Amino acid sequence: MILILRLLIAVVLFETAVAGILLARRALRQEAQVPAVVLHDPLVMPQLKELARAADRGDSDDQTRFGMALLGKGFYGHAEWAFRDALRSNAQNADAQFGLAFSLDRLGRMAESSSEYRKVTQLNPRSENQKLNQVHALHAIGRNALRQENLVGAEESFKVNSGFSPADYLLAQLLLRSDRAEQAAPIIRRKLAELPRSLEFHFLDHRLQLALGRPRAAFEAAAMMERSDYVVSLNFYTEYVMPLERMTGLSTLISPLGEVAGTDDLDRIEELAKQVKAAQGDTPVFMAKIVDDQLLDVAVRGKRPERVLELLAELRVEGRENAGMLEAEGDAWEMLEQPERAAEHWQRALLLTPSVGLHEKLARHFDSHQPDPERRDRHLAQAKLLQGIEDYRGDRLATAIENLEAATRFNPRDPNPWFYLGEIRFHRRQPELALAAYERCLEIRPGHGPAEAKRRHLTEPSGP
Amino acid sequence: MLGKFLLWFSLAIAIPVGTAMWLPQVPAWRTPPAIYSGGTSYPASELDFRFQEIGPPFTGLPLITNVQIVDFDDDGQNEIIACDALGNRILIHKRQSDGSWEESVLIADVSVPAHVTVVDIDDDGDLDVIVAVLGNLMPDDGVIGRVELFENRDEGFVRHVILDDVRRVADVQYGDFNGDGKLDLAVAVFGYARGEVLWLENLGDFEFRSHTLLSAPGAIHVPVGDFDQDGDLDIMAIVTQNEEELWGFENQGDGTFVARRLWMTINLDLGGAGLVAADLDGDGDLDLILPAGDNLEDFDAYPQPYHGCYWFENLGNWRFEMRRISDLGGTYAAAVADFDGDGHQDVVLVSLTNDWLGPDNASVIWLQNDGQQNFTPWQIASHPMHLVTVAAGDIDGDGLPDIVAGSLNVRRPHAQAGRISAWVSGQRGESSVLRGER
Repeated sequence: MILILRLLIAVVLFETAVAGILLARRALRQEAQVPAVVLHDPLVMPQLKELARAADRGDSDDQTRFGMALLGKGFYGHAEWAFRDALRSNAQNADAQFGLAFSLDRLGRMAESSSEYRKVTQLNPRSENQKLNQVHALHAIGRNALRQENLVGAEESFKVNSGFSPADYLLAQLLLRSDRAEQAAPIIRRKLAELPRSLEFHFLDHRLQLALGRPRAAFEAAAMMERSDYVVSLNFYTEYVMPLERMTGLSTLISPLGEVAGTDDLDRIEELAKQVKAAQGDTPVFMAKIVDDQLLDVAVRGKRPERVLELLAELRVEGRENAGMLEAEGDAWEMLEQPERAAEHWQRALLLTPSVGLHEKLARHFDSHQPDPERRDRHLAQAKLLQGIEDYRGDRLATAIENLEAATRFNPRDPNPWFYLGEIRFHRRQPELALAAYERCLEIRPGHGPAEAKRRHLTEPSGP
Repeated sequence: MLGKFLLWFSLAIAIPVGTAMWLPQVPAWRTPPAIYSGGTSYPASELDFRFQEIGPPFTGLPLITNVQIVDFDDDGQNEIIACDALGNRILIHKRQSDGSWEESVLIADVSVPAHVTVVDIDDDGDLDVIVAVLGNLMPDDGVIGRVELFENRDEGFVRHVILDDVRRVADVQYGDFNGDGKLDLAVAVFGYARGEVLWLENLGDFEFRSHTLLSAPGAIHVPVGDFDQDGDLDIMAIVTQNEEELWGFENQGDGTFVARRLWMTINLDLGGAGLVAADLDGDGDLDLILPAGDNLEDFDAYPQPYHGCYWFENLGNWRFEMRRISDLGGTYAAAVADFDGDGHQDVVLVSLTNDWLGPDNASVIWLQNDGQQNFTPWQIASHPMHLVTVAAGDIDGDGLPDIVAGSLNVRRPHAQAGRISAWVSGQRGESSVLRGER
């Protein structure tokens, strides 16, 4: 019995010591700090407070989650301490380490930030995301060096990250801007072989050719840049922050709305949009504008003209007016069988943002309600032109030619279809056909600068 | 013995249970760490500026992209012209006899106007309006920009689309570049991933031929002036996307230009936000002022240590020496005037993205020039926040330069929002920083 009692006393003493340590550590912790600010988005602060409580009671992952939510709303200074707490709890927490480095990065503390990014690159990644973060961390070190105007440091970082397109881009750009075009050339050539439609690398190629004194090659590189649609994301900030931004606030409700927007489930879209509006209350939030657009779209597609007009009246109280609103109003008047008013609003929308759809609506109007073959054909020509340009930029060249040729038939006095027919033939390396098209364009509008530049390029003696 | 056993047994159970229960409730004893702020604030201005909202009360989040002070109707009193990207229109404000301002729509249905240029382009004795059409406020590489010229006629404005099929247009300026007696135009096509600097040759009858001066994204402003003092007009451009560069296009007198890169930094995050031509040192040639603080690519932009204002002193022969004259975080626009009447050109700056968590951080400051180009910053206001454009000129007819600024409310926090705000010069006296509170 005495032995048991002694054992119990030992256990109690041990427990007391452990409890004391735990309580002391707890008392000496850093309390999670929530920014003292009132935001118009009414959901953000309560959610941050909840995450702060969880961080206060929880572990490194909870503290990281809190830090990420703070980052997502731009509270970089507060996020810094949330991540520091998370790292105090678990120094191997790669997400917290990246978050800390990023917070310092955005706070403009580049040297500290780079030092923290370096630690990211030394941790063992436990997920694909963490592996990607290591690449981004290395890239961010280079970017920070650029921000500190440390050319040598930046160059070293980008070389270490070779193969990562944004790093390759910035390295080649640095080389070009420091008069080392010959060293930039192989990088640009390699990347263009990998990414033939990369507009950034065609841009660098344009600069390279100029630096090498080859104006014709520079002109052609600029033309390729215009034709290219692949974008190398030079800055990972948006990619990183976007999911964090959606952790709190109205964004948590807007994201599901974004997923159903454009589908035919009008009831669901309206339900989600109304949820956001209810949560938003009377305070204006910039990103909640998408909700108004969705409500308007649902009312138009649901063929509820009175609802469209009601929504428009609400939006105009704030001084809003845009092409989408004017087109919706036109649609509403069409549903209410007032075609002249419909056409009037569509024409105003067209002044703001020309679109295939608007031109087609107006073409129908001038075909049936207010017959005017000339105006109808002008709108048909514009619809075909816009469609042709879209096809051209999307590299659907055969369809583009069909649409552009149709545009020339509907309105022979428009120079633009001829210009784009010239562009297609220029890129197909059919110089004679291209030249003929540019000349037709210039016959109609002698001041068409881009057509003139292309004609000059095609007719002047070839050189470098 | 049994009593002792039970006591120690109970303690052995109670200590871990109690610790587990009480641990989360233990308050933190440590003083919370100071939260870092990169925000900037300055001593209150000793010049008296009275705050005034221009135009009707507003709700929502206004998006004003440009303001200008100009005597549009030639009545000897300045009006305020503003580009309203929320309503996609150009507004004009006229001062009433009671000092209030009446707002009306000068031009409707222009898609996200970025800048308005008022000039008698057709030489018929009235002022026409040229609008740089951005087409979309948000990043967009689409071919959605235009230059629209609104010819002033007795019956109203007649729209001429003089440049389309280009990316987002941020600025248009004018000058006779080829010496043919007609006003031509310089155009900054900001774009996004692609952009360019153009000049438009006036062919007459509202027809213009475009000429490319530079292919580069992010051209914001294209001030025009005789920078080399050779008797013809040159064009400058600030390029701010991926590459931060200052370009000069030296006119050969006949509309042909020699492009010169005058300055660059490898700091891709500088955030050049505009370019203003002014003779800041009063030596008879045009210098350049670069406000820097555009980080709109971030969801939540934050002041950076290199933000502020840079002065490029014209040393002649196309040499410019750069000097930083302010560290205002998130600086987005600058204007020049002699605010203290000492004969030297001062500078007013506005901030789009200072650290707005600090309630005293500046949104408007002026830099007092002591005549030796030493600039002392004075804070005029800490709100409204999110100021993106500023103009200086006399709006109340007292001969003193006043300040007008516009708010672009696209970033958090969406509080202390403004629309078109004025700070009207008064006598030297007590600070009026707090008077602007709404």
